[in-house]
Amino acid sequence: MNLHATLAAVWPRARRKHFFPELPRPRITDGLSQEAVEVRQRQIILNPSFCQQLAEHLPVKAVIEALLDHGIAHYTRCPWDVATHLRLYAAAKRELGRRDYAQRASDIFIDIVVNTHCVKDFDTALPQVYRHLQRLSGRPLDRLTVALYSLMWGMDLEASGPETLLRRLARIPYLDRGRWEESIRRFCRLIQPVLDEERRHSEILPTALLGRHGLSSHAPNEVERGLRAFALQVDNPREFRTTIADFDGELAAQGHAEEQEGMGRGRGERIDTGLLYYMKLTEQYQLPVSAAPLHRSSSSDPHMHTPWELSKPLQDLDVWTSFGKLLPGLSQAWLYQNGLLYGRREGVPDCIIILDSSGSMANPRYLLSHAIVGAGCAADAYLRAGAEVAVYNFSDVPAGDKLVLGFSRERKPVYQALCRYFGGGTVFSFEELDELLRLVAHDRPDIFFITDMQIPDLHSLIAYLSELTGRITAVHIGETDSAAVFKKETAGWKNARVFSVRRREDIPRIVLGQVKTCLGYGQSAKGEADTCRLTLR
Amino acid sequence: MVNPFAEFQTCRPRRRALPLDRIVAIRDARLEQLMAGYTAYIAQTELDWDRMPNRHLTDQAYEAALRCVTGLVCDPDDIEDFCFSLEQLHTPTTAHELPDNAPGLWGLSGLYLSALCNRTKGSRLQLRLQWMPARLHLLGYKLPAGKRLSIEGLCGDLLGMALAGGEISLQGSAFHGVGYELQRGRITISDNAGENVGQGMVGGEIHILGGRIRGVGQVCGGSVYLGQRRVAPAPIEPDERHTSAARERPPA
Repeated sequence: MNLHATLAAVWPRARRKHFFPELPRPRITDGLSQEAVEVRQRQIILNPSFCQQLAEHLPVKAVIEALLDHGIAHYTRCPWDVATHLRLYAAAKRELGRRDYAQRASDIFIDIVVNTHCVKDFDTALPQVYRHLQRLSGRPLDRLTVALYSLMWGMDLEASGPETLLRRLARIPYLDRGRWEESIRRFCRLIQPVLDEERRHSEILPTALLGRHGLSSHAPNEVERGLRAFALQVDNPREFRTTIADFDGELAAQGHAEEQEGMGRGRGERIDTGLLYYMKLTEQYQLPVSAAPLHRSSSSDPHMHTPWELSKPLQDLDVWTSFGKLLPGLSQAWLYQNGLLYGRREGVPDCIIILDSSGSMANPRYLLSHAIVGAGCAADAYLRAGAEVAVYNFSDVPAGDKLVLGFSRERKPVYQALCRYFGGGTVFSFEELDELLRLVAHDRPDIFFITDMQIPDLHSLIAYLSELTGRITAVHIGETDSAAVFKKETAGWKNARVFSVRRREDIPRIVLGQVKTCLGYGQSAKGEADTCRLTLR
Repeated sequence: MVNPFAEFQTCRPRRRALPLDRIVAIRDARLEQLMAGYTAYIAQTELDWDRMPNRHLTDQAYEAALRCVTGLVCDPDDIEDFCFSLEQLHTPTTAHELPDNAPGLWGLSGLYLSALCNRTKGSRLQLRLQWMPARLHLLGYKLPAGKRLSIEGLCGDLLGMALAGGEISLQGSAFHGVGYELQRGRITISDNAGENVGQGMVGGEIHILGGRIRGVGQVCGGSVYLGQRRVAPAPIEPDERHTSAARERPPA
């Protein structure tokens, strides 16, 4: 039996049935795999021993086509993408509480959706495959699933189960994509006693009959996109963490692992899911940074050609485009205009992010911290523009609750500094900030300051900031009396802009480095009076 | 002329009707009716919880619930699905304030469920309430003889009020007023019960299998048991029995 030849013959037909999905040609695995169908980086990999085992009962062509139908439908039907998979898994985990239960339940639910779609839409041998598979599996939930197929598809697959439970399971709208989350919750509640029974007899193996599903099935860019979408969907970092931590092995294989430090024994957290959550969440928002405006220089630069005439000076003649001729109307002369150049510094300046992580701010591990999202968005904006970012994360500085990160172009260290939460009092110290400012003595960095403004020595802070000449973007979380004081005090400043963030949706409204007027440079070349870089107050 | 898209005609999917489609369609239609009835009931009816327990008020609200469920076709599975939908309807953020601030709403929900249970044809009903965001009150109101209601989870006040011969089995705990004005029938609670258990009951039995009853009400008839021990009406102690017999004996 030549499985490779059969696969080559069946693949075009399977693709046609599923409207030619963009999937690489499947292959037959050479190694020893436990799973009938494995999907790795979108490529379907079939298990030859499984195919041969089923070929004793069914034509091998039908077996391979059924397995391909199943594999392809994971991309064309369910889970479709990583975000949906994570959403379904999170719903299952919420109901069942255990990782092994949630993996098994979500895998089976996804398989039910996929197989039912295939049976409904195409001619497929999946029912026959499952009829033989349930004989091979001794697990109660596998037998129950095949019995459920019998009921839902109206076919005799020679499996049976508790009638009441089957009747309830068959009432779930598996094919309604919009209700999948609700459906999997209902599904999990119903099958929990069966999972308990499986656990009593043996360890729960997180695989469905035709193999398990995970993030490794998808390409790395799909995983990144899925994590971004999932970070936006969940309500808080805790939910993201509890879900994503269960996929740590697969994420570590895709380069998200942390370096483990420390002595002694004990398994650490392989992935800093809190960090990953904020990194993915901030990728949704692209804050604009006002670029340096162009200013007119005193020099004249050649701008365009114009036909030379006798009245025009001879030195303006461009001999190259005039072909060496001196003829009015034919020879070309240069037309000059005032040159344009950037301000004193080229590009976007570096930025110092001052982040308040005192006890009055939300703990980023458990609650969505708008401060970190805002600061992360700001950091990303500057890093994207090629600038460097320094972080001054403070709580009670004299007590040692501070973290200073020097100027860096690396995203991860910046986020590690931002996500550090102290939760102590709020005492600000200017020495660290002075130190950072000294590092860029030749330049004036932008200041991005994010806090709830509940700072005891707010007036001295305002006095300190008033001496800075770089652009200041201050963001206050929530509306407090202190925030009102800060706004009132800084209302007359030309180089400062204050934003308020109450909800996540307020963050995209922040425009970094936007100031009101441009003193010292006059009107900019583009007339962007409020987007200059340097302001002398 | 050759049709350039001729090849794609063969790709037309041949969708077949599955039994699942029919099952889900019927379920959705029934659930929609149940939800519409519930929404209308909640909008039209009021239950002043400060005046509870009040038989007259409860009867009025129950009659309104019966009017809303009249004509609805449903079976025990539909009622179970309705409980799930009820849970979805009252989202956790809303329900966070509901248990204390709107007991009337949960009382009405309980009465609507009671009306559904009493009107449905099935004799064995099951309610899974362990995931409900708040406790439902007045469950099993006037449950008639021949019906057995199994409940999983926490119940609110007045479980089995005016029970009319049915049997309620609760896997969990109930709050105050279990079996209020119970006529006949049986209530079994696997865990604990709150205050005023059996207040005004005239018949039937209440069995609390867990460790605790917070308080027994004035029982006019029937029995209340805590585990194997009868707690109401209070059993006559041997000494007391002897004294009362001596009192009744005619003087020599």
